[in-house]
Amino acid sequence: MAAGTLPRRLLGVLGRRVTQLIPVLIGVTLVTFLMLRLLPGGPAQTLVGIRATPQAVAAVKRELGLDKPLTTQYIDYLGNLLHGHLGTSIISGTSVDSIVSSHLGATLELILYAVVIALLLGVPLAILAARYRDRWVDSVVRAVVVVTLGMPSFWLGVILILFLGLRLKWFPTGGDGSGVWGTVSHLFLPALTLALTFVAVLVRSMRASISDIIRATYVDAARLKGLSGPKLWRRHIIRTAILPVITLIGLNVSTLLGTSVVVENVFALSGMGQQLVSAILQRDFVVVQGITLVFGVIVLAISTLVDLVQTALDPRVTA
Amino acid sequence: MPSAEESTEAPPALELRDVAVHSTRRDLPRPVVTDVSFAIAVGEILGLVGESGCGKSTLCRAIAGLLPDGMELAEGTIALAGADVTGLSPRAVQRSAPRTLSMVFQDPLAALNPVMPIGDQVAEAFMSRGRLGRRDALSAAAEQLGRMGFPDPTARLGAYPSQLSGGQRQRVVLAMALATDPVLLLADEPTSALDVSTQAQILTLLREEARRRGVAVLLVSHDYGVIAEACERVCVMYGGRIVESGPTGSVLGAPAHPYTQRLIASLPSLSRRHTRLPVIPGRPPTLEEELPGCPFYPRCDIGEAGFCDVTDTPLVPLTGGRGTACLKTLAGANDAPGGRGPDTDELPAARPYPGRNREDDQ
Amino acid sequence: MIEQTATAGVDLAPTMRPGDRRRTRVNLKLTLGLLIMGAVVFSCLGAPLITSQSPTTLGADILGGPGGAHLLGTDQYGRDMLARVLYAGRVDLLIGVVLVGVAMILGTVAGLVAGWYGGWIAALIMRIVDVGFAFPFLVLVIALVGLKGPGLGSLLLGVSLVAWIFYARLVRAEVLAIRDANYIRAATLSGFSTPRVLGLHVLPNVLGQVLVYGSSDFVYAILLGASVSYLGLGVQSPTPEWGAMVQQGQNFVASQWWLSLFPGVAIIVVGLGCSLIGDGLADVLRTGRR
Repeated sequence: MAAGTLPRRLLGVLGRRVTQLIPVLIGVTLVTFLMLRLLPGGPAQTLVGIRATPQAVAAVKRELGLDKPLTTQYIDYLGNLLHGHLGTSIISGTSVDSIVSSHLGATLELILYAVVIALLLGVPLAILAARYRDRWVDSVVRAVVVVTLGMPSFWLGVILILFLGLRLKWFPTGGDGSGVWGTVSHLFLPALTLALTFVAVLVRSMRASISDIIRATYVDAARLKGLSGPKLWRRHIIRTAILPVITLIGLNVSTLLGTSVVVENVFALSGMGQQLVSAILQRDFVVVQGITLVFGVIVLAISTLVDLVQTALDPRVTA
Repeated sequence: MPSAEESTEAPPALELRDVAVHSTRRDLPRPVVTDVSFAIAVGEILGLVGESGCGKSTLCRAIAGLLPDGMELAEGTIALAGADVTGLSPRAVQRSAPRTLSMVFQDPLAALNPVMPIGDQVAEAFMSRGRLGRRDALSAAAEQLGRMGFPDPTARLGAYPSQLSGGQRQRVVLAMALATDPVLLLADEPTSALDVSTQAQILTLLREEARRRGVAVLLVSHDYGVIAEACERVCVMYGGRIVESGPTGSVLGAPAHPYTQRLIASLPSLSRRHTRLPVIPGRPPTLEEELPGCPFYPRCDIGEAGFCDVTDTPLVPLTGGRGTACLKTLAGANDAPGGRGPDTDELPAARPYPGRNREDDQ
Repeated sequence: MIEQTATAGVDLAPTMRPGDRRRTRVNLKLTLGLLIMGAVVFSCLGAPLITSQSPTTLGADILGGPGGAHLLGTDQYGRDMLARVLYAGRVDLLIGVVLVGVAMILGTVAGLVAGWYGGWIAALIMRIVDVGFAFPFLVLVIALVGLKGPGLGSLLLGVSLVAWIFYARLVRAEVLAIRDANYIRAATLSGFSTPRVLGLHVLPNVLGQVLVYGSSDFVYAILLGASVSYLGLGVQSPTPEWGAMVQQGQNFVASQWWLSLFPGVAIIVVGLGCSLIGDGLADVLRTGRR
């Protein structure tokens, strides 16, 4: 019955996750590998341009190893990835690794900022709704949730630019800003936009879990020990309710990353999403391939991290 | 053990008068609990027995001030060691009443916070009313757990409920419940979720600790064996009412209410092996059913149409500290064997009470 | 699309009990949702009945405010915004129907096969599903759209390649849950052919969940199509489409706010209608199962 110590449990979860991850990672690289090979005309044609002579195309093919069998090419691709080489842009000639390393930070900042805002907005709302369940506060919160769930992120961004940026002039409406304060203020509207798409999901889920916890027997037991008010909430309700929130963040990292692509483009933030879209519009497919792969790896890495955090926080999780 | 009603000196640990619990959300045709009056003397263990859904747990929650949303204590008074605690939250009881009550729940896993070490959970109870600081509370918790037969308590204060066995969890719950120094312990099916070998240990522990500390216990169970073993007196509940009460031996040995009679007849026993057990026809009433008169009437074979199904049935005291809510039993009690006649002085005069001949009873 | 609804499973707790009076009442959410969606579909398909303006005809009244002859104003080419919003609805609703339809059919078949047969075929299907879930959905879709080149066709194809995984996972879980039920065993033992058992006994039992899922998925499909079009990778000008319209209006948002506002409001109305239908269906299904 007794589960092991914390490090042992963490190692167990990590081991299990990594075993599960290996086939998925192979699948992910297979998808990005095939992406380029399935291009109409093939990657070499795209590289040298549609009007290039067949001789030029063949030369490029030989140079890039595209004349080798597909399996050899895939093994070469994996080898390059293991050395951290994601390829070279067809258009600018810069390496995809450097594009990723100079833009990944902005995207991760945006996501982190958005999650913080979403928690600051969502947790109190969820607590209010659960505490006053079936009263008017709850009804208002639930109505807001239903409406927000169907809101397009790009539209929300434009509307926030209009009201908070242009009319009220509270926040800058685009760009990256410099310094800590510059980043915080320039990123606020994009982060708020991204946060609002997540708040609805967060509130809906947390309202339900808090409603259950309030009615849990151990909360009654705590009341009988004389606990009430903020102390009861802090020690017994919030503490348990925070665990599903971590799960939820893990489940939604993928969606948040997807939405961040749109939000970066609304606010002209130079993150990974903006690079992805401009690469697509320029038909710079090596960059598209590299960025897509990095997005996949980030999702897998963060969900593994969330699993570990959860194991560390929740004694019920066993390896 | 003097019966609580007769005690004039110390007030009883718990005294209920005409307690009724109503549903506020749905307009149900009948109260969830109605007309419940009894008292438990200090240090006494009173059994409350009945099928699931009869209102036992709701009654417990009403006493503890933990009624769920949609239920309210509509009538009656609840006194804890002489202090009126009717409708008070546990926190308010802690603040205003001289003594508190605790509860032991059916499912010990549900009663423990899954993400808090057990040491902290027991210590929290010692810290109530600011009695102890955190450090002292933790060592008191270890000591208390040890007394509950919890193995190696000091080393395992940091363990989480999920790492314990069912019996160990219930020991933690009991330690926690007794740590607030209560005058009354509500034990709601404390052994039902445990396996058979653990059940007896926990029950013995509960009895011994209650006796040693002079804590009164309301032991709720659907298991007559548990009740017979642990309680001096018992109340039988059916359809939200107490239908019979009295010393455990006489109630179980010579039940006065048809429901109790049938139920005891349907229990398997070693002396009647290989015989077909009689069953009570029908099923217990649901909350959606209207129950005018006696709640057992639809399943009763001595019930009388136009009488039992219309007349309100209070618990009427008999001799020998017993009581029954069966009008037919009361009507026939004069010629019943064993002299269990109604205590006519205490009969409510205003209630309709037509006399009947036994020959008409089928 | 569906991944946005991931709520750690806590919302699915059944709340209805047999005696609950909601059982006999007409489901308010479902009715309201159907009314909203009915009105949306009617006004988009029947756009010519509502406005005589054309969504693509250029007009002299450039960037005109709402009111008067142009109820929702005009855009930078003098096109009537009301007409554009309504005609755009046809495109967006079509995107929703096609995407959900294709994903539902492909995913249900894949899920049935994976759930029923197990073994290597299930392992293969579910590994593909896992890989699909490893990418942010939108990223994978726009990368695929980009390969083929921007446009409505690429959008529909790109999403169809990916979106079935959500349904496959759902259906497989449902099939696994009922595969060993006695009525399924009885049907198998009666010697019915596998397609017959799957079609007549398994499918009807998983279809309810799939439809509930699909009705909320419809919103996400439309949001997805609009997002891709907003990024310039989906529906191309001059065909009106809500997401593309928000993008085109963004340059004028400081003074001509109506250009971006109304297309977004249209999406929100559709979202509201679909959420209500989804919730209502879930209620009905929950009651029916008990």
